Amino acid sequence: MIKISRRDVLKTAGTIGGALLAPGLPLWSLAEAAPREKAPAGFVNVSSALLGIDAGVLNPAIRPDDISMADVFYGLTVLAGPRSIANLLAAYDVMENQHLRPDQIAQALLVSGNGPNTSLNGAFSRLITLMWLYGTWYGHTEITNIPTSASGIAADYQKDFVISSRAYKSGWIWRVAQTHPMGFSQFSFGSWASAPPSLADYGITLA
Amino acid sequence: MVAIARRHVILLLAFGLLAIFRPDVANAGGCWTAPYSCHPGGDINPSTAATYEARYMAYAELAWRDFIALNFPAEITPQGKLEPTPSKEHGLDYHAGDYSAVWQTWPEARDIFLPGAAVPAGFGTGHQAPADCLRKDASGRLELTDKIVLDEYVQADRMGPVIDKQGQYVRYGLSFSKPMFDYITAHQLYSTEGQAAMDTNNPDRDKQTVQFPAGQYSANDNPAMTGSIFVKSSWKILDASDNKSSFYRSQAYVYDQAGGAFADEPTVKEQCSLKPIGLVGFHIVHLTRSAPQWVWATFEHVDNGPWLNDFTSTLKRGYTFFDAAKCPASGGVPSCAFDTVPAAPWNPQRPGQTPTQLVRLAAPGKLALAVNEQYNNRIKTTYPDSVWANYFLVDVQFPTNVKTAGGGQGAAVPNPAYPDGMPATSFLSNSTMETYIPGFFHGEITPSGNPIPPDDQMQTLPSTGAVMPFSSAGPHTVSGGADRTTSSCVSCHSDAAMTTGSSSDFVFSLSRAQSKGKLNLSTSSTQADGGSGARILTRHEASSVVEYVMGTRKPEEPTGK
Repeated sequence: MIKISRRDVLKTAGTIGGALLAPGLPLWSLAEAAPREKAPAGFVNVSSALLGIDAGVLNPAIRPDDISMADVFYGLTVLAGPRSIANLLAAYDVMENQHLRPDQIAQALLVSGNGPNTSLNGAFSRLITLMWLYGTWYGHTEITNIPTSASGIAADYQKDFVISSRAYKSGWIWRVAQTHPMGFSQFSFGSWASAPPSLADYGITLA
Repeated sequence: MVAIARRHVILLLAFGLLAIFRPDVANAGGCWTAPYSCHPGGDINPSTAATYEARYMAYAELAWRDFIALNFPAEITPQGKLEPTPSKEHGLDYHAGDYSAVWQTWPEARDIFLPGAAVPAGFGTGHQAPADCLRKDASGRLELTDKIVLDEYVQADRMGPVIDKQGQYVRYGLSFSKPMFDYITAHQLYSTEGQAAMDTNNPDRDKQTVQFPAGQYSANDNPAMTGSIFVKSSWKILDASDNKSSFYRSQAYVYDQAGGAFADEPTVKEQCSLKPIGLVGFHIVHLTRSAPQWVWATFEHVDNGPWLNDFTSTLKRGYTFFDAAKCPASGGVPSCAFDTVPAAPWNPQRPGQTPTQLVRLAAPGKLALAVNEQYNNRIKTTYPDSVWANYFLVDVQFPTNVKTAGGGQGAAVPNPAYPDGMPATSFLSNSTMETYIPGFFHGEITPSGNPIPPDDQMQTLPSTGAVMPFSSAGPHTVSGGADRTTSSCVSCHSDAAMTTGSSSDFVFSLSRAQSKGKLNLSTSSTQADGGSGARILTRHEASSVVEYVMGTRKPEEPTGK
């Protein structure tokens, strides 16, 4: 059996990220319709397990403009597949109650046998992971790769789009890669002459 | 018995004198009895809860405390000279709002970064005025003045001027507190030589050797713990048609340099005159132990202009920079082009220029409005006639991600991963100082036809109804937007550098330092460039270009000027 670790997921995501981030992706056209509600702890925790990043780092208490990306992403998943996200969170609760480690939970959600988990739990796990990494919803890409995923994704969300400029800038792939997104940098002029910040400074510990 | 009686008399006398000279008794109108201290705060209370709302409110309150303290009347000596300390006799209602505030005694940038890197005069001793403004004294030295000198009229990012309804340009000033002044003079940072000495052990210019003193919290507002503050002020020139009584007013030398703000507009002639001015905007930038990226706050006069939201109902005010008669609402929005950069040439002396139709786009955040409500009520209660009831906090910007040694109680340092501190609010602008920097708004669409997502928008629901700057009940801003491409104080100032090329701790003005040898961008370098013709700009050179483009720096003045 091929063991797919979170590191593999992140590395793969980083490798294919450039191709996925095709220029011209539209913005989330239905963003205004998203529910403005607090993401449940289960959503933050399953995100943490999938990414291998501490929940408090993913969703800090003090954040720019008090806008929680967890809330934004959760609101999107509720529109994209209310039953799918509810089922995923329920599955997470079961595994958490079984005291599985986060990496074991991630493994269970992302992998099935020698390949990816093609269930809707797998689909939404991938979509959530990619949202955090790229600030982008890859509904079309998911269905292209695994057509059966379409059954759990609402029609308006069976396409790829950038969630918002804030989501794009907040993409964790930039931090995993110890760099910054194109078009925005928190670093000063000449920073490229110095070594990048450590992953620990970002609060990242990879398995 | 006799001895005891004498002792009683002495004690009574002592207590009586103490009562008479106790500041809060002897100076009923002065800062000591105001509802606020007349000294700026040093920092937020370190025990402030680690929640967004608690931190935000604490920083907003610090901003208000600073605003009030700095704008107390300055002490005046019996000889009529201004002192850089708050008056013990007069409060915020002094002289109907026409006076010189404490911060106006602080040295301006033009007082510190002098031609030929001359040593600045002592703190609080007055301002260097251009020769056209003042005469020389018997020794041939230009007399100092207690009036500030306003010599800038182009906004940061070189966005252009703002023109009031009378056709006058808004003028800008920049002043530095004593801890900053002392630090600059102690290290001779007013000269390129002093800055080079600062970086002697920083050959790669990759360390920030400049570390301005940070303020520290003290329960009793100990002025020795205030730390570094610099302020940028914006003023309108007052004339007979203005409602003067609504402004904080003062007198200033309004100076036009020959050739204009960037020495590239030959139609501007050298000119200087003492004029009455009214405060329309005020930035306060405060370095504290909890905020190594500084705390950025900005205040405005309530009548500067309407908010975009206000056009959904009847405009209720007369505005300084908006003429409703020429631009009535139509379908809930202004019927004219607004916030348009004036046409060149930017010459404040040119008659007949079209006034700016200024419309405020970003409303204060909900929490800023809540703090405004609280402080405005207290000002009105204590000083019913004070002009300061007409000013509000637009918003505050502070870091949300820093490193703190010692478990949270020590001084914070920047997290290398987030040198900007991930500031909140992410967007901050003053309608008179960053007029032409827009954000994204509810209802706008991208060039590809998509609506702007809510977490990128400046303005949250409700999208209708007038903004009330002293009430949290009305529409407010989420303070979103894309950093750098719009308006983030920290993100912009993080590029500030000394003349050596190393970071200047967010203070652009240090790059104004001069030496006997002039900086020449085409030939000078602080690093070996191998003698080739083409090379990469040093950080300072890039910063200089940025400053020039941004309008925060002037070209070197001609020798002998």
